[in-house]
Formats: sequence, C-alpha cells, structure tokens
Amino acid sequence: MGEHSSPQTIRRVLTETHAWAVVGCSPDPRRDSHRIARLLQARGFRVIPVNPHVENLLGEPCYPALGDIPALEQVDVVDIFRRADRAGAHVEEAIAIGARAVWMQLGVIDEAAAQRALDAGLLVVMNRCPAIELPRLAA
Amino acid sequence: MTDRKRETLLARGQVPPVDRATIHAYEDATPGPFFYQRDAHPVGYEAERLLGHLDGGHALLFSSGAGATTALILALLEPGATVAVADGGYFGTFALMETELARWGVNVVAFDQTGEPPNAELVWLEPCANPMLTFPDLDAAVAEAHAAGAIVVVDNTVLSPVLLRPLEHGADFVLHSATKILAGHHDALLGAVICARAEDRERLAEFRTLSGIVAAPDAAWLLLRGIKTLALRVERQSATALELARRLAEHSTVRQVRYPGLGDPVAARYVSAFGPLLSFDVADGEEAARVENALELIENATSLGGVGSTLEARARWEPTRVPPGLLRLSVGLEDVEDLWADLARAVGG
Repeated sequence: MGEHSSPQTIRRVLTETHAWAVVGCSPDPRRDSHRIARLLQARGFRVIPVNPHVENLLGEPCYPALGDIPALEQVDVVDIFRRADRAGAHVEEAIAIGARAVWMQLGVIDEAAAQRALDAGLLVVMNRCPAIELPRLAA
Repeated sequence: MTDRKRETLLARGQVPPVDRATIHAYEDATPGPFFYQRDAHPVGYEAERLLGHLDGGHALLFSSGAGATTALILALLEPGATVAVADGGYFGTFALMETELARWGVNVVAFDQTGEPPNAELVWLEPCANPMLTFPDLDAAVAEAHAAGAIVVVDNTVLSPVLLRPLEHGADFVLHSATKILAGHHDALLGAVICARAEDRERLAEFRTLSGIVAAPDAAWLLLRGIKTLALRVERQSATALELARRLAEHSTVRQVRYPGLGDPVAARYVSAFGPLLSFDVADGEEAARVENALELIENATSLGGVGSTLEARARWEPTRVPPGLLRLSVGLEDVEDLWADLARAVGG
C-alpha cells in the first residue's frame, strides 16, 4: 500500500470514501473534532460519531466504540481524534471492522500503528486534517 | 521515531509556496480552515504539522519565543498562580513574568532545576539552561511536579527535538524560541509550543487568535526551509561545541566552562549530544569586553543556534544573574579549527 500520508493517499481517502467514523467526536461545537465532523457532513460525507459519553451527535446516533457500530454500516474511514498513546488501539479496531482507511488527526502520531494499518492493507493518513486537505483537492 | 526516519522526514518534499493572503474566501457562505490569517494560514499549518511530528504533540506557532511564553501563561493560568522557573535559564522568561505578567497576578519564583521543583501551578524547566547550562533530571522533576498538581513546560530551545523530546518524558508542553536552532539562520523570529494534549492546543489557538500573537507566513516559510537541515546542523554544531568546550576548559585564562557534555551525568542520561550552547568565564567584565572586541570570525551578537557562531558577555543583559566575566558562545557551522584560532587569540593568555 506504499507509504502513509502521501498526496495520492490523501486524495484517494477523500475522494473514494463515504462513511467516516469519527472517534472522539465531541458534543462541544467549539472543539476541533466537532467542527471537522460537521464540515465533513457539509461536504457530503456520512459521519458516524464515536464517543462513549454521548447518545446522539450531529443528528446521528453516537456509538460508544467502533465495535458497537452495526455491521450494516460499512465504515470506510476511521478518523481518530484521540491522544497519540490511545490511537494504536483504535487503529487495531479499524483493521478489525474492515475499514478501508484510517486517518489520524494533526498531532495524533503513532508510526508503529500507522505501519500496522499499512501492513493490513488500509490507506493511512497521519498528522493531517481533512478540513484543510479537502479544499486542496480543488487546487 | 529513529534518527534515520527523522532525517528523511526533514529532508524530503518541497516547502509549500508562501501564501501571504490575509483572507481566504468563504465557501457556501462558510469559513473554511483558513479564512483570516490571524486565525490560521497555510504555511503556518505546514510548519505546525512538522513541529508536531518532531516533538510528538500538537504544535502552535507564535510570533516569538517570548510571545509563546506570554500565551502559555495567560491562557493556562489564573491570577494568583505561581510559576516556578529554572534558575540560570533564559532571563527573558523570568523578566517577563516578574514584571509584565506579575501585574496580572502571576507569582514567579526561581528554583534550582537540578533539585526538586517547589510547589507551583506551573513548573518551567530548561535543559541546557541559557546561559548557566544546568540540566534537570527530567523524569524525576516531571513526576514530582505532577504529583504536586503542577503542569510542566520544558523550554527546549537549545537542544531541539533532534536531541530531546520532552513530551516523551511526561512534560505537558514544550516551548521553543524557533528563532534559534529550529530556523537556524538568524533570519526568522518565531516561537512554538507543542502540547501533549489536543485540548490544550485548542485553548492556546483560541487565545492566539484573540490576542494576535501570531507568526507571519514568511517567517514560517523560513522555518520550514531551515528545518530541512536541522538534524545535520544539530549534530555538527554539538560536535564542534564539545570540542571547543574541552579546549576552553584547558585554557589558562578561562576560569570555568559550562557545557553538559563535559561530564554532566544527568544530561548524559537524557541526550546523546549537548547542543550548540556553552558559556565560560574570564576574569571580569573588562576582560569579557576585551574578548568581545578581539573576535574576528565569531560575531559579537546576541541570540543562539544559528549557522554563524555568536558570542556575548551576558552581564550586559542580566548583570544580577551572571558573573561579570561570563561569555556565552553559540557554536555554528564554521570549521572547528578556524573557530578555535579566533577564540584562543581573543581569550589570549
């Protein structure tokens, strides 16, 4: 699958996917995770929020963990807004639920986890923000 | 991250174009990630991404190191809070807190960072302290500060993340005067904070947008350009600094040399090389001024970490904190023998 976060990989993740599970999505509209999830919705993506403390978010049911998302929902991308030292576990879950891609947000950096996802055949983007990369596609 | 991976990360890829626009148009009547330069801009975003990667956290650029310090204190603390600052570290940090920020209710105390930090809301450490070159036992100091409920900031300006990644030792924040070895060429004024937690970055970003302590795109671009050679510069400048420190230590007219590479056992536990900065003492202020004037190659100037070596008597800025004969030397990329010839002739004896 080559390397993570290359321009080609970013383009593929942003253009060939529909359903994004947003892990660590906050109900607080001021938080980055909330604002970026809302932006993804505005751009036509389906957002599946994941947060154990919330039942509904952004007009969608919110699941406690990736493993709790019903199998009928095909998750394309797992977008991780968690601390870097927790990111690895969510990468494992992303592999387990058969996601096509994993996206680790700005500052969420775990090279070993990125490599595991690449080895499992996923597209991987790390230390980038989709809200910033999306407008670049048009450029 | 292994050294090889880091050097590869730094060297590869193109620096993005300098986008100086202060505004970016809304899309569907909605502000995008970049809409007004004071909030965020594309070159700054790339620089922050890279700094975050290097230090293993969430990075924010500021207009200077002092600006970054101001933002950290005002955004994170409440009036009445106490900051414990490493004694012998950058005098501007202490001066800022003791004068301007004290007016807003910040209490500041200096402490010996080679020992246990005192009770405080925030503990400020500075490995290879500028200019006294002390080195804290980082793991112990962070553990003690956290046990007492304090947050820990590590000013890592001198060493850079090539040599030390304080977040891996439990620090909550890393601060850089990115003007120094990160940008590296004495031509860009910048500060940076790298946060262990994303929510702290969000809080600081909010403060930064409101206060306007923001980095300009051109300076951020120079940082991205300069940082491509960071690993090489750090390696070479550290090696030359160690050699000069050894020679100065044996020189008859030099009273004392401060450089953790000369056998500081605590520093040796944390870093494999010791950075570009050292200080040494000549007899008195008069002798220090004579050395400053006698230099021909080394620039008699302030600041540190650049490719050109600089030296100055620090008593001109912090007379109550340093011996009158203390000379601070930041070692650049010049040939070690050329530097030694200049120093040895200037120091005399």
